[in-house]
This record gives sequence, structure tokens and C-alpha cells, in this order.
Amino acid sequence: MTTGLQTLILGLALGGVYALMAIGLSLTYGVMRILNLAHAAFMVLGAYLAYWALQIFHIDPLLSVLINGPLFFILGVSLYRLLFVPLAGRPRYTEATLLLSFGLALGVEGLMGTWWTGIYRAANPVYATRSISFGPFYIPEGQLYATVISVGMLLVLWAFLQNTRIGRAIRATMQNRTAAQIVGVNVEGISALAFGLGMASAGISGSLLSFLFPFFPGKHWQWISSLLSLVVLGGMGSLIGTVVGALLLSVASVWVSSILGPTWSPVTFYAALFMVMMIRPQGLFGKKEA
Amino acid sequence: MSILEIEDVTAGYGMGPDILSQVSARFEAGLIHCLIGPNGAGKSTLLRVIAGLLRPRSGRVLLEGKVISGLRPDQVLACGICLVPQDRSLFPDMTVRENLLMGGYIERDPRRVSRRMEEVLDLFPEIRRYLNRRAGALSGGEQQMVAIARGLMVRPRVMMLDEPSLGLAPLVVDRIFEAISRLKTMGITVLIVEQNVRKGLAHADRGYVLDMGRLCFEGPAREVMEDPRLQELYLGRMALSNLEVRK
Ligand SMILES: Nc1ncnc2c1ncn2[C@@H]1O[C@H](COP(=O)(O)OP(=O)(O)OP(=O)(O)O)[C@@H](O)[C@H]1O
Ligand SMILES: [Mg+2]
Repeated sequence: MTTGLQTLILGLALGGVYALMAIGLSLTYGVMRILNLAHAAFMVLGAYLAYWALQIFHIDPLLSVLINGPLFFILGVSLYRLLFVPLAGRPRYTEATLLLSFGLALGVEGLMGTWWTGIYRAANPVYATRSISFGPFYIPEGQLYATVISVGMLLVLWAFLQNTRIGRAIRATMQNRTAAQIVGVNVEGISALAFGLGMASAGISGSLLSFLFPFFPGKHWQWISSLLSLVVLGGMGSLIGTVVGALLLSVASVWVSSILGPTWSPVTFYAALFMVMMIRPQGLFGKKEA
Repeated sequence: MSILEIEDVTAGYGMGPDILSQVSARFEAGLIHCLIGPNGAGKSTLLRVIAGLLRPRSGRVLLEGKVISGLRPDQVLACGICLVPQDRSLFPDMTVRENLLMGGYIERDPRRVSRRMEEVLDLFPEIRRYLNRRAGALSGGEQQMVAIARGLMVRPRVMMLDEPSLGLAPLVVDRIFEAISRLKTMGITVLIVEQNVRKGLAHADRGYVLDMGRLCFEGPAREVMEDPRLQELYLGRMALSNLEVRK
């Protein structure tokens, strides 16, 4: 019973961070049907920035969230305007953007490899190695902070989407792009904004990643495949689905890892994904394609 | 005085053929205009061109003498032309209230939006009952009402409705047409596309017949209805059901 609860605590804590990592991927897909394969590469870039900010300027990774967020937002808006807008309206748009984001992932990986070599890094703030216990349970301190920040960010995003005029326009564009145009939404502007927000989520989760998991430039391939599997599990284009998918899969992977050992934990993602695809191909919260 | 004018508009999709060729028409302020024509004639395409969703290959669209072709859809809307498309294009996962709010999207002042929403709800009181329901869960007729109400949120001068009666039961169709007549009393210029030729023309002041991307003829609705060319056009082309209603 206690071990079960302990697994649940660790799984949910991890899931909060996964959810923040994946929400940007899901948002970009939902608004403009761009599957940004470079999302995790930018996460790792964010992790490097947080790492060096700590090493050189002694800026705590929890604080570098405040730098990475706006920085990656601006980077995202610029990249979208520079690279993706010229493709808009072209035939095979989806395929073109997929290749483009794949190219971006390789480019970012190459740059990181050149600048910072391929060795493993991990930011080491004091709390990275501490744990907090309460009764029979414990939670790594860094994990706790990362989760609190992630959940906080998700709530801010949710409130923004739910209660503001622009947030409503983002949701409207996700549901029906033409209808959004008809009511006067400048969908290109909204798309740039959504891409920026997606990238901001990558940058912020990169800061958190820097002290949670060791990383190196090529690490993003493993991340992107896990993130894609949980986005698909939740249902492509559904933000709620992404959060639920993240929580389910991280609890499952922590549980599997506690029974079979950590090497088995990544497999959980694909096994669970496969099962869902067999039963409910559109994902947990997805809509059947018309 | 004509409020909306279409001049030699030729349009098509992507690299495809011309769907509209050299269409010219004038629409008069405050009247109901009914655009009819067989399936695939290009009726929806014409509305899309006017709404700015599709750029014409050549020709112009003018609103009160000012060229509006080439503007973005949000800019056309800001000029006072709104479109209620054939598929209604509601936001299915939003509530009816949120759909109406989205209708007022181009108005930035939230107080004016909520005042406008009250006005629209006074015009369509039946909508109040399902304000908090998910738009996707409404019946076809209710959805059409919401789509019209959403269009009204910008106080349009011209309202275009693409097959508003599509897929609705006869009784519901009557309610929709009654709502369209209300638009006219509000001084809104109405342009409807209608498959139900008889019903459409009966409620309209003027009729326009489009066939294979060309405007064949136009005139006062009554005359268009009696015109032998109309029967010629429809006979053997599409289901006779619409005309058979007469007998
Ligand atoms: N998005 C599109 N891309 C390419 N071709 C299209 C597109 N939309 C419509 N068409 C083509 O344009 C032609 C005219 O279509 P349109 O929808 O304007 O006809 P319509 O008169 O509204 O017909 P209906 O009565 O069936 O609604 C059709 O041949 C259709 O196949
Ligand atoms: Mg049509």
C-alpha cells in the first residue's frame, strides 16, 4: 500500500513536468497542425542555457525559468515568421513543416554538439540531491519544485486560454480554423503566438530538465519520442488529453520501473500507446477524424 | 443604391480551373437577395470571395464604391460584411455564449461586446435557453440560429447566409426564414444562397441564377421564379424535388 502510494507520488510529480514539456507540442499541433519535431531539441537547448547560467552566473535553474520563457517565446515567434509562414498555403504543408522541424532538430543538435561537446551534463543546485520526507513517503526536493512550477505554468496557460479574448481565439482556431477567420481572427498572428507559447514551454521545461535528468545534445530524440507518444495517447490536438496522457504514462513508467527496473520504464510509453491505439485510435480525448 | 458590387470576378482554388468566370452583380442596400444554382455552380465560392477567404484571380469586389477584394477576412468583416457558411462553422467545443463572444472578436472593448450580446439575445430570445450548452451538442436548427446570431455580433451591414436551411426539417426552415426577414427589418442587406429555390425566392426581393461559374440571369425574385430558363436549368440537372413542391 505504502509503496503503491509512493509510486503514485513519484509518478504524478514526474507527470506534471512531462505535461508542461508536452503541452507546447500539443498546442502547436492543435492550432496549426505542425508537429514540431524540434520541440525536445529546444528543451535540451533550454537545459544547456540553464546549466551555463548556473555555472557561470550562479543563476538558479528555478530562476532561469524566467529568462528561458520569454527568450524561447521570442525565438519561437521569429522562427515561425521566418521559416513556417513562407510555407503557408502551399500544397503538402503538413509534410513540409514536418521535414522543416526535423531539420531544425538536427540543426539545434549540431550547434549544441559544436559548442558544448557531447558529454553528459546536469545542473547541480543544492536541492538536486536532497529529498523531503513526510511520514513513510519521500519526494526528491528538485522534483517537487519542478512539479510545482510546471503545474503553476499549466494553470496560468489554462486561465489564459479560458478567460482572455486572445486565449479564446487560440482555442477557436484549434477547433475550426476557417470559422476563426470568419469571425475575424487573424489566424497567422494567432499561429505565431501559439508557436511562441509552445517554444516557451520547451524553454521553461528545459530549465527544469537541467537538474532533473542528465542530458547531452542527442538526448532530445529520446525525449521527443516519449512526448509524442503521450500526446498521441491523450489525443492529438487535445490539451486536456495531453495533461492526462502525461500523468498516466509517468505513473505507469514509474510503476514499471519499480517492478522491472529502470531500463524498462521507457518501454512503458510505447506499450501503453500501442494498447490505446488498438482500442481507441483517436487517443483518449481525441476526436475521430472526419 | 447598390451597396455591394461584384465586377468581372474570376476565381478558383489553388492551381485548379476557374470556378467563377467573369461574374458581375450588384446588390441593393436593405434588400434580400437570393442566389440560386445547381450543385457545384460556384455559389459558395462567390460568397467566399466576397468574405475575403478566397482571393479572386481577376476582378473586384466593392462595398459602397470602395474596393474590398484583396483584404484579409478580418478586414472585410470589419467593413461590415459577415458570412454564415454552409457548414455553419460554429466552435463545437465552446459553449453558445463563447461562440457569441467569438462573434464579437474584432470588438476589443468587452463592455461593448456584452452589450451587443444582450441586443442579439433580445432579437433571438430562444437562444438564451441554451447559452451554456456546448455548441456541438445543439440540433441543426439551433446551430443555424446561433450561427446567425454570432454573425450579428458585429452589427453587419451585409449578411451572407450559405444554404441556411440545409438539412433542416420544414418547420425549422420556416423559423430560419422568419429570422432572415427580421434581419431585413433591421436594415441589414441579406445575401442568401438557397437550394430550396421556391422558398428562397419567395422570401427574397431579388434573384440571381448562377450556373457553371457564370451568372445566367437576375431580376426581381418573382420574375426569376416564373422565368422559363429557370426550369430549363433545373430539369434533368438536379433533383426535381425543389420545383415539385409547387404542385
Ligand atoms: N476548397 C476547394 N478546393 C478546390 N475546389 C473546390 C473547393 N471548394 C469547392 N471547390 C470546387 O468548386 C466548385 C464549386 O463549388 P461551390 O462550393 O462554390 O459550389 P456551390 O454552388 O456552393 O455548390 P453546392 O450547392 O453543392 O454547395 C465545385 O466543383 C467544387 O468541387
Ligand atoms: Mg455551396
